[in-house]
Order: sequence, then C-alpha cells, then structure tokens
Amino acid sequence: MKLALIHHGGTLRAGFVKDGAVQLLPAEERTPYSPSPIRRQLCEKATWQSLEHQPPGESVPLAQARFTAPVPDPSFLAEVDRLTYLAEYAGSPHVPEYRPVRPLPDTAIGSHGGTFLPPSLARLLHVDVQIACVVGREIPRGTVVSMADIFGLTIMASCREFGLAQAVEGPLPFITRDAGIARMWLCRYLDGSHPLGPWIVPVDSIDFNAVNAMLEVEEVGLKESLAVHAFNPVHTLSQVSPLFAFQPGDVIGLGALTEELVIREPLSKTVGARAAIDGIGVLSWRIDTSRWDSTSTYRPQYRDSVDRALQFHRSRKGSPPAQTGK
Amino acid sequence: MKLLRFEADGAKRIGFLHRGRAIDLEAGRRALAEENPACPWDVPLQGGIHDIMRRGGWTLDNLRALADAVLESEPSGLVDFDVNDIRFLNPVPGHSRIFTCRGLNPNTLWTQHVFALPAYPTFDLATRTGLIGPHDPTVLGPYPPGYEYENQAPPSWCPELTVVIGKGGHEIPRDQALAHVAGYTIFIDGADLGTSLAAHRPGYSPEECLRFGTEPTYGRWCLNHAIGPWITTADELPDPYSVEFTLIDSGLVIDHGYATSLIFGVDEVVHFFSRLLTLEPGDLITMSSPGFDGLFFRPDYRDQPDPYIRVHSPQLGNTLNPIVDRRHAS
Repeated sequence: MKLALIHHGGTLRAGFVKDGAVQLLPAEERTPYSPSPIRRQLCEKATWQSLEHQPPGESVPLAQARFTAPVPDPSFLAEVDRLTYLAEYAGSPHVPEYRPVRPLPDTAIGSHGGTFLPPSLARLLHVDVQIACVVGREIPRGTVVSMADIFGLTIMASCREFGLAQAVEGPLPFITRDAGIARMWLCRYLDGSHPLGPWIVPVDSIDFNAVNAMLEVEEVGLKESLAVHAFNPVHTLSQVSPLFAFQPGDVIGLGALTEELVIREPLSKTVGARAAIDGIGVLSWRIDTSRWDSTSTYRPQYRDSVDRALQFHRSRKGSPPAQTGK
Repeated sequence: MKLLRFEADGAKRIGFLHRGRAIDLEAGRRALAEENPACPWDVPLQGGIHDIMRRGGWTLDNLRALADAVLESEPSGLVDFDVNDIRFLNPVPGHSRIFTCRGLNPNTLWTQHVFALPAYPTFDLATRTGLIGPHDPTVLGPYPPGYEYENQAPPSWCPELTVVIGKGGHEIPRDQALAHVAGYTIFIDGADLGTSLAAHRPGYSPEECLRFGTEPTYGRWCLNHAIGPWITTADELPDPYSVEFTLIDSGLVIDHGYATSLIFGVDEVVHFFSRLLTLEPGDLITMSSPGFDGLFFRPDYRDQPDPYIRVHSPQLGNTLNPIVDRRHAS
C-alpha cells in the first residue's frame, strides 16, 4: 500500500500507487480550508484500507504524476538527531536515555518542490536523509506510544544552511548559549527545507535494524550507507511524547541515516537532489538559488533608545565602546 | 479592532469586541450573505485567526470591512454576547509558525552583564502543542520518570509583545516592514528550566550538552504558552513600543516593563525574518520580554492554595492562567 497526494487538474488528489500509476480516489469537496480535513482523513487507516479495495477509477501514470508532500500542510515537523548520538557514544558503555528533538515550522515540500536558498548566503549546505513516521492517532502528552499510533513511513530530507548562520553572526556571539541555539534554528528555516515523500508506506515495509539509504545532489556528491537505527519509531516517539502532544498527520523524522552531504561551494544554479530508502521509494526535489535577490550581508539596526542607553552607560563607566556585532 | 476567538453558548466562534460586546463575525457574515446574495464575503471563517488569514485568504482590510458592514446593517442573524459571558480562547490554536525571539531586552543582560549587543535577533520556535488560551490553566509537569527536578531552577514566565504578520513576503525592506504587520497580542513565554537542567545527560557538563543545542529548549517545550486575549490590530496601536506589561505571580508583582526597552524594533525583526524565510499571513513573532523574566523568583506552588500567573497590559488586555502543579504526579 503506497498512499500519495498529487496535483491533478488544478486540485490536490489522493491515490494509491499501483501498477505504474496513481489510482486516484474520489475528489474531496474543495474549500479554502481543505488541507486540514484531508490531513485528518488521510490518517484514518481504516478508511484508507477500505478505499484501497474499491474498483479502480481515474488513474495518472507515474511519469506524469506531480507528487506533493504526502501529508499536506503538516502542522508539526520534528527532527530527531541520531548521528549525534552515535558519534558521542562511540566506544562508551552509556546507552542514550533520550533523544534530542527539534520542532520545525511548516517547511515541507514534496517531489517537484524546491528548497530555496538565498544565493549570497548559500555557502555551507548540509543535506541528510531520514525515515519519517506519520502519526495516525492523537497522542496526549506523556502517554505510552504503540506501533498502532503510527500511520506510516515516508522519506524526509533535511537541508540546513550553516553558512547562513555564519553570515549573520557577528565576530563575537553575545551569549554562547543563545547564539548556539539561534544558530541551530537559523539553519533550518529555509523555504522548502524539508522535502517529504514521495508517498506513505506501512510501518512494516522496512527493517529498522538495517536500512539501505542513498542521498545524491547533482554534480556535487553521493552518500550511501547501510544504517542501523539506535531506536525504532515507537521508542523514539516514547522519548518525545513527554514533551509534545501529537495529532494525526504530524511528522517526526527519526534521524539522519547517511552522513550529511556537505556542499562547501556556493551553488550557482538550480541542482537536482535525490534521496532513496529501500522499502519506501525515491524522493527527488531541486535546490534552487534563483528566487532571492539579496546580495548584501545582514547588518543589524538597533533601536534609537538602545543606542542612547548605551552611550549613557559608556559615558558613566568610561569604558571603551563595546563589541556591537558587526 | 480587537479580533478574538471565544466560546459562548457551547460553540467556538471568531469575532471582535465592540462596546463591551463580543460579536460573532462568522454569524454576521452568514446573515449578510443570506440577506444579500451579492455579498462579497463568501469564504467562511474557520479555525484560528491564522487559518482565516493564511488559508481563507482574509486580509485585515477585508475583516475590518466585514465588521463595519455587520455593525452598520445589523442583520437579523447577528449574534453577540456580553463580554462577561464568554470564555476567551487561544486565537491561534495549533499554530506551528510562532517564532520566539530571545533576549532582545537590555534590562536583563546587555547593560548589566554582557554589554555587547547581539548581532542579530536570536530566536527559537514555540511548539503548537503548548499553546493555551488567556484563561486556561498552565500545567507544570508531569516529568518523565527519572527526571529529578527538586532544587532545580523554577519555572518562569515572560509576557512578550507579539507581532502578527498580515501580509507575507520575503526580503521585506525595513521601511516597509510595518505595513506587513496586522496586529499585536500577548504571548506568555513559559519555561520550566528545571526540566532543561534535569534533562542533561549524566556525565556531561551543561556546556557540553549545549553543543547539541536542544536541552536548553526542553523547558520551553514542557510548559504552556498563553496567547491572547485578543489581537489588537495595528491601526489601534500605531506605537507598539508604548505597550506596558505587568506580570503578577499569585498576587505578587514580579515584573513590570515597557516595550520601548527592546533592542530590535518590530521593523528590524520583520526585516530579519523575511531574509531567512518567506513570512506568511498569520505568522507570529514574539519580541522577547520587555522586563525581567522572574527567573530568580522561586515560589513553591505546592504551598499556595490557588497559584496563578496574571499579565496586565493597558494596551493589549489581561490574561490570567491558574497554575496546576503536576510535577509530583507519577
């Protein structure tokens, strides 16, 4: 069973991928608020299983299908780190007791979508590929999670622009802790920075103990790995559950499978990227630098009252001018 | 105009305040449409205020025109309530794009400790699951098994001026940034720092843990953030730096400040964020606390009969959130 969402005839249509085509389900009533109802309906497993056995209707060949993110407009994306742990605990008798997690804003795109980088700041691009689980039921905060709470799996790529953080940071971060946190967020907020797709497969489609993954960015590099997951999705969700409540359609990336593919040269043109995981499929998207116009580096502009306060403070203390970023 | 979500007669509604009454905007829209088939407002108002702006395509001007039409024509289907008979709700339920700026206030850090201005507005992300309404209870804990929170830093709350984006865009120039702001509201940034510290990995110093960058934000995700009570549109608040906050913790005033103390202005923050990502209608950017954050105030909520957090702002309204202490729950 592979569930997909595609753009077809100017609308968003759901369907099953079968026999080289996407078998479309009946079109839903369109309203301005349609993504949320579709998202809720999408994750009702019983509904989908009954629909799958209906006689085939309209279909679109795979080559012509324009896939979008299989969970439309996800209101919650969380990214859990894995390689961090493996590196930290290498050779250590400690077993990690919990996993760091980072919530993300809605930056998901599907195949045929684009990750957009400001060209002047596209200096140090990191890309990795993860298995993402789609939550199928409402999970109140702190409750025990079971495999039945997970609707399915899909591929999530994570694109981070560390050069962006360097470009806006001053020579001396004002507070290490806050600057470090902010730097982490800066990297992950780009438009379309989390491609999802191409479709959703059942949880039992892959073996979590040994996952083949591949990540490729055109003309730049290729990473492949046979990865062993430290945790399964249930364990991961159980660790995250004390922090968040989940709703159907929420997406949680389970951590990088391959090493990060690091692109150190500024991209001068749009390039294609592909991420593949055995048992799920191949997700392709593009990394685009053409959308943004700015070529200038950010320079902060403080409020007048702050400047006046600083001058007053310095005049009283008689100290030399303090570091003020750039 | 003061836009709000409220509950009355067992239904959740979107409306606005007018002369002490909460007027149901969606009921007014429906009534207008029934009386006049040529009514231009055919898109229903559903979900939160961010939903109607982002998905429904409602602009602030459209909402204001609808409100004016409802007040002027007083259609037969108009539904309104006394403001004392309604329950204020979170105006942006389930919103996943709330960017919380940090430490943009010279009162706490810059002039007293570091005295070096930040090079850019630092920020992180508030989770949608922690959002509550202006009068909903805020819950401490429960913590995961094994977390030790005794003798750790106490929970803290900071009232923050919050900007609601009305018109999206990217690379917005500073001089045009205020034109993209729809209004302002209060965001109470709760942080249970005891959880953050308790989440440190055994055998590693806090500095080492900070390299990974997630532990300090655990506390922020573990505590509720109240939003509301309404969104004051920008035309009613031409000078956002005049906003005044008073934070009252169970009867004791622990914070008082003015938004004029912010290091970065609203225009600067909107300009900065629009360089990173495409801002969308309904996005929220919190501007950090204008005063202290109550970090060094250590009430023990187990000894208080009815603890609460109250924020009073003459410009943006009042909130009152009872504190429910479940830290000791198993």
